[in-house]
Amino acid sequence: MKTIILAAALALGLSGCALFEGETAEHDVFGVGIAYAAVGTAALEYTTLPRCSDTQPAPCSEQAAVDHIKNLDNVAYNALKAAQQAAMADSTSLAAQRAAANAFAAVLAMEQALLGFGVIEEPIAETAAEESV
Amino acid sequence: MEFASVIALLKALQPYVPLALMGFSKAKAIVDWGTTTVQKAVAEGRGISNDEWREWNQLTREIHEAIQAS
Repeated sequence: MKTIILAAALALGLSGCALFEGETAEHDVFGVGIAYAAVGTAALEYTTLPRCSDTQPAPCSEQAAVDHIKNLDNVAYNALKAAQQAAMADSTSLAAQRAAANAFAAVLAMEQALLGFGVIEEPIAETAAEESV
Repeated sequence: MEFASVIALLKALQPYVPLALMGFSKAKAIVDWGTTTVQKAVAEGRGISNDEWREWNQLTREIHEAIQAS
């Protein structure tokens, strides 16, 4: 579980305050996809655990939590693909920037769920992002 | 909401990778690859290439499908 906590925290830098303009929406979308992949990798560590039950002790995953993570993953993935399409159509357009921001928000929602379910414990990378600027 | 520079973001994450990802080589590889790819594209003054998008598509799709199947 420690690896889950730490690995997912990597992507939490996206929620940090060290924000500035990306080169284009295309680069931003690419980066959001990397964050999605990092968060998703952590989520997978949890969702692939055996489901908790009377006969299944920890480490295990709660079905309700897995269902919620799956729903958020669907939202994030679809937002990511929409942002990719928008960026590839016109990487400098406002629509592309908005789509990238939507995807970003969806990845953050996924991270928040992992925090809420205790899959990750703290957004340590947020501190890292702040310190980097 | 302001938007983070991808390069700054990934640079910010990199120092934490060795500490954070002991035994978590897949996530480390993802972040490393993403950092290198975006830095290279920006340094060369270009967008993301078709080959790079292809790898990105495969990566994100595989993770998405694995989560949905879990």
